[in-house]
Parts: sequence; structure tokens; C-alpha cells
Amino acid sequence: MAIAKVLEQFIDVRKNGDSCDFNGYLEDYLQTIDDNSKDYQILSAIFAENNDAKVLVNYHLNINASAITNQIIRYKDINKLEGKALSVPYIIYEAKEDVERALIYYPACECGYVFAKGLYYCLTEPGSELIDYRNEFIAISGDDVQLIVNTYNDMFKKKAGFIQRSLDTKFYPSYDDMKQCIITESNRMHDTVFDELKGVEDKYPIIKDHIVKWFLFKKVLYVQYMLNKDALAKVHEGNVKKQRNQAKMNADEIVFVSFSAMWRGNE
Amino acid sequence: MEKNEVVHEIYKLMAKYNDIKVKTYNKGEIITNFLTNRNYIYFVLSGNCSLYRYARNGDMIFLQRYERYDSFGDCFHNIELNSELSVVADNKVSVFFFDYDEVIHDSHYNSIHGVLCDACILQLRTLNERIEVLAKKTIRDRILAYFDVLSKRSIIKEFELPMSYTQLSAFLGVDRSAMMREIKQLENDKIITRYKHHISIKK
Repeated sequence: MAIAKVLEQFIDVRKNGDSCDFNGYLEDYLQTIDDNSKDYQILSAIFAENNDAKVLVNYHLNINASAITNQIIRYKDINKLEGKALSVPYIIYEAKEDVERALIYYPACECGYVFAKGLYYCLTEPGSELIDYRNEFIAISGDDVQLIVNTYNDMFKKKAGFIQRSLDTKFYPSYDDMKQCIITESNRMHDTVFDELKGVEDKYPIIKDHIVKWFLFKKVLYVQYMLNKDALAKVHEGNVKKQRNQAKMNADEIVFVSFSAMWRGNE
Repeated sequence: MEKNEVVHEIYKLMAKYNDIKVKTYNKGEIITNFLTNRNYIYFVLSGNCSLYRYARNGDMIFLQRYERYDSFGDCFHNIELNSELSVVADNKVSVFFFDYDEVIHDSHYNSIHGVLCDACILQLRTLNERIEVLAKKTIRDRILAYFDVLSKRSIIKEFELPMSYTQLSAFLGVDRSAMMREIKQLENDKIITRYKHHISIKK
């Protein structure tokens, strides 16, 4: 079974399912959201050229604690979150003739592309139910309507890996640029989280949002470095152990506030 | 009388009796649930709304779309407790409504009865148009018959579909994928061109 057939089977809240908020035709979803929102503009541009596209909104998934990557990055706070902690904002998918593809779209924000890729890694890591479809997904973010529509249309014609690599260089010319962006954003979150929590009655959504983002930062820093064949060949002389060690060190550079400190409201 | 004239006449008469309720609803809001036979009758003053049946498995089945000056109400349906009917606003909708039983059984409202009859006839015409469309045997013929109905409403052979493709497939009583295949075939055959919900008939 290909990806569109698999995604079609997730049951949304309208049918008492708990896997996502909406799963159906993009056209029908557009009727339920605010016409003036940025998401509407992007999704309706995709619909304009792809009338049969479907969308999965806020697809919830569990953290796979047994995945090797998650064990190596050792961010234990992520396992303290309740239920299905991760949520993929949009998966737009379609079957066109014999080709079935899915686009993970994360709404535009600082490091949005990193979050989109992080969610892609979580969706398709060993042990996940979508592991067999890792070559049928593309992850993207931002508010460039044309880029997103072109990417959507291209994914039925070109290989997903090729498109994803082009997007990688478009968003961040090098791994170091991406790392710099992640660390800047992570530090900002670290410095502002207590102010955000001040006076808030229900702290959990803010705490959860921060923990998930720090987890995705660590995950992307680790996985993206491990996928870097140039670094393996040129920097680590083909020694995967050294590369893994460096990838782990990169993930460890993320400074975060612990789960308990956020609940207490001070470090 | 045209539909708009009939509705304005009813509005004017009911307003004279001070017995009219006007309400505005935002996109997605439920205008009414046909749960009991309250026999209210509604007229759309502006905007669009749709009638859905909620099935037991959670499916929301589209039944009908109401445009400006259309009428709806529980008095037009057989009410069953196990499958709820709801009218939902598709955009900002203004409606006026009143108790049909009260109006029809009270001689005080005699002057309105004739106009109400006109309104029912006009509503029946709309429903009969749909029967004509549904009488066609193939999906392609149903689509073309409906497009023909829509194109007759404008001078040029171009129109905006008044509903989504999903709603159109329910309206025509066909599967959406099969309907989209036929619509694409109509494009390939150069019978229509389209962009989003805008359709132009070429032949």
C-alpha cells in the first residue's frame, strides 16, 4: 500500500478518532478555516492546482523512546509529556496516477523548516508506522506560496530525496548555518520561557511546546549531521563512531530549561 | 413573482405583524438542528448555508445548499431522532424565521398565506431542477446537466460553482473521485475549462 492509501485510513475527531483533527479533502478543510489566515492562502494555492489533494491536520504521534537516535540524544524530559506529544500541523497528500506523495507543512515561524524536518524524522524513524514510506514524504515550511506550490507539484515528478536536498540548501546553505539558527532560537526560548510562564494558570501547553521544540532541535542536529556523507568522509575519515560522537556533541549544545524548573517557575 | 420579490413580501408582511426573528450566523455556526417538529420556516436573506445529515458513524452527509432567498425548515423533512439534520452556515448568513404552525392556523395572518404558497412553489422548482439532473444515467450527463442549469443563470457561459466539489458529488449522488475524473475528461475534451470553482463552458 502506498502513502496516500495509508494516510486515508487515519480517523479524525469528527468520527471519534484520536489520531488527527481533520483528515479529508483539502477543499473541505479550507471551508472550515479563516479565509484571511496565512495557512488558508498557502493551502488554497495548493488546492487551486490540485483539486483532489487531501490533508491530515494536527496528526498526533508518540515519542518513540526505544529509537536509537532518541536514546543517543538523551533528552529525558520529552518522555515526561503526556499522551501523543508530537503533532504534525499539516500533511497534504494525494495519489496522482501511479504516484503517491505527502508533504509535511509546518507554518512559517523561526526555524519552521527545522521543525518540519524534525517531525519528518520522527514520523519515519525505525519503529514508526510510516517507516516504509520515508521516500514518499517531503518536509517544508515558510510562507513562500510559490515555493510551496511548486514543491508540491514537483514531488509527483521528481524523487523526494532530490527535492528535499534542494530545499535543505535553500533554507540553510550549510549545516553550520542551520546549527547557528537553531542555537540562536533555542537560547532565545531559554531566556524567555520564565517570562512566558509568569502569571499563566495552565502552564502545560507552554512547557510542552518548549520541550517538543528543544527535542526537535536536538533530533535534527543529530540526524542531519549523521546523514552528512561529506562530513563522514572529509572530517571523520570514514569513521562513523567519530561522526556519531560529533553529532551527539552538536545535539548537546542545545541549552534548555528542565521540565521541573519550568513547573517551578525558576532555575 | 421572482424569488426575491416573494421573500421580501413575506418579510414585509411578517414585520408588519411584529412576529419575525432575524438572526446572523458566522461561518461554521449551526443555524438550526431538525431534532423535533417545531415547524419553523427559515428564509435566507444573505449568504449561503448547507443542510447536512449526521450519520451514526460520524459522517456528515451533504444534502442541499441554500442560497439567498431560499427557504428551509424542519417542516420540509421527516424528522428521525437517530440521524440528525443540521443547517450550517457556509459563510456569514442572515436569515429570518417564524413559526409556520402559528402563521398557517391563525386567520390573523391570512394575507401571508398566498405568498407562502408562492415561496413553496419556487422552492419546489429548485428541487425539480435537481430531479432533472439526477434523472440522467451517467456521471458525465449529470455533471453536464447541472452545469447547463448553472450556465442558464448567467448571460455568458461562465459561472462559479455554488458549492465545493465534495458537496457537488453528494449533490449529484456520485463518488467524488469518479466525478473528478469525468470533470478532467470534460477539460481534456475541451468542453469546459476551469480554475478552482470557476467553470467556463466552451461547447
